Amino acid sequence: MVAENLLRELKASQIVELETCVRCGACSEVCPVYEQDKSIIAVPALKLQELRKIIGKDVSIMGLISSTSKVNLKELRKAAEAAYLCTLCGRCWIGCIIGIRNRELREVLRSMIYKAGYIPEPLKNIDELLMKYKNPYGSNERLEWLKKLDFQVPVNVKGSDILYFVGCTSAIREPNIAKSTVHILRSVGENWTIMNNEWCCGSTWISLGNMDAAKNFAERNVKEIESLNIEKVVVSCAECYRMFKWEYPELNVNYNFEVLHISELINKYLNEGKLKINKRIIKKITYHDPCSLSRLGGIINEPRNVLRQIIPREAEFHYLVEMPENKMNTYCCGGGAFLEFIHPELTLKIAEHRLNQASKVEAEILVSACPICKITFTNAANKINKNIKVYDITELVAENISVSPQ
Amino acid sequence: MFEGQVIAFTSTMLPLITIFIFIYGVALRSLRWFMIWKVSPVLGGLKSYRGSKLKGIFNSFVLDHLPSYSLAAKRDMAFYIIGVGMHIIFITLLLTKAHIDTILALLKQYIAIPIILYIPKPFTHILSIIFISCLTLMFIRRLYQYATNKALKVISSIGDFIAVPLLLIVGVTGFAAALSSQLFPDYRLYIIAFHLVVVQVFIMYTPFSKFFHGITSIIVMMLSGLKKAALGGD
Repeated sequence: MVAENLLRELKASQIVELETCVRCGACSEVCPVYEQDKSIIAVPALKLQELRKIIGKDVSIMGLISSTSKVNLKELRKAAEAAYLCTLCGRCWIGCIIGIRNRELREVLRSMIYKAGYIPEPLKNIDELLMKYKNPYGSNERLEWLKKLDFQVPVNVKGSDILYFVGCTSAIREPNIAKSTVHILRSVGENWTIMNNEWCCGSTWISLGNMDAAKNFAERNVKEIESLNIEKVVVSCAECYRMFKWEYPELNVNYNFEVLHISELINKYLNEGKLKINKRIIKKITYHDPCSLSRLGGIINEPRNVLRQIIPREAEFHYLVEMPENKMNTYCCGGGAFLEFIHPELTLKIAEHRLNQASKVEAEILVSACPICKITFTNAANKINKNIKVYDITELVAENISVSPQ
Repeated sequence: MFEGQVIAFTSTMLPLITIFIFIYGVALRSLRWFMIWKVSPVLGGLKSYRGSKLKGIFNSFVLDHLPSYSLAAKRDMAFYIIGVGMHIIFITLLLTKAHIDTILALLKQYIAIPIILYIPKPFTHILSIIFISCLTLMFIRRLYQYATNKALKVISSIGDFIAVPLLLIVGVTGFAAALSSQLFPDYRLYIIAFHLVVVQVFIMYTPFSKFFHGITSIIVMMLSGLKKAALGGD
């Protein structure tokens, strides 16, 4: 192992962030994982200290004098468990009084751990599945959901205005979101298509710590999309959105198409009158901001605007209720960054906490805009017998629109 | 005779030692950054922005620190107000006439002239009292949390128990110096000299301690503000 090479994972600006932590503990107050687990190794500030030790940088006088530029592999091995005890939700960034982007530093830590070969045992299997099947679920049936539709879906149609990038979770684990999305696109009469050769957007690689593979997957996806001469790419997954919109450029993978989350597109259609809601839901709805879409993606108002058109307009404040921790401050569902694979009971506790927040505002329906959130909340609601319905925003819209005869 | 030696030491000899140690510490830190820069010369900037960069930075420095916006404040309002209040007052106290005159004189003559706070003002006194109170509460909080909060216990280092008391001594001696001409005229020189010594210990210690966040946090807050500007959320 060339320990010096691991330093390449750290950006020059990040070393400044690493040295700025004053150990006030504010991040531990807001971290969903620490709040629910209370395990010391989950404390975000502690992970920064570990990273400092790993890069041979202690903030004591002796640490400064004796520091080297080599990565401390012994410390790196020790930090592996803590690094993956995190959903990469980014709440520590918003909770930090100074604004240290702790989440990105965690990605650096994971990247070093991955390169050193210290990733936790349960994740090694995912690594292999991703390599072999190009999705984290090890499924060969990515297009299976198409067979259950009663209409023909346009596939690989060159020159389409819109490409719907389905994403692994919508295609394999939560196909109703994919079906609802194509139902919406079809209803509007868009010139759209899907790809039959999608690979994972790369977010799973970043969660694992394999930045090189994330970049390879990103380049490959962009190449395939650009070969279809597409103007807009629409995603129904918050992780895919964050990857395409923000991580691809960070990975130096540039593209010449526009990226939209489906909630942005639905909002646009509703505003333009292309999409009509034909029945309104007379139930209390609360919207859960997926971390990757709101705090890390910047999409906050569009899903709310869509939901406002689904509930009775005259009593908007009664039917659309906000949970106390929302928008940029949103609370994680607990299902992100493979936490569920390593600590399923912890994911359940985090999701349960969020469901309790929804119950406190007397919501009957919890709507999200990410398939991972939907799966996590549905599982948690079933396990704890919570009387709340969980929907993805696409499902709620698709159920309540008038279908045009295309 | 002794008074003359005190003035000579605190205003000529000690500042040179202070400046040397401070520069040495900053140089060591910079060297580390440069070594990382050499290996990984990426700054990590965002490439597209939905919102205004200026607004994002302004929010990061100002708006995000308002208790009604801050997530940290929502979780622990008392600690938040005390902590942010202490920082604001610290910066305000640095901008008093006595401090500015001293710094300017130091820059001009390369010596520290002991004329700080020679015109005590009620406003400065009130700020000093609040500053000392905030620091005391912060230290009590750190001690209390160290005993009761396992997260804070595990992240605390020895530096955390040196930094706040040191700053507290700076505050108390500064306040005493401001009051000295009225309350302790016979000891005025010694109080001012002691304050100068403590301040210089504080400056020497800065590059080797959490005090350095006073410099680096400006960079971090800018980066955070730029990220929020890129996202363009509320």
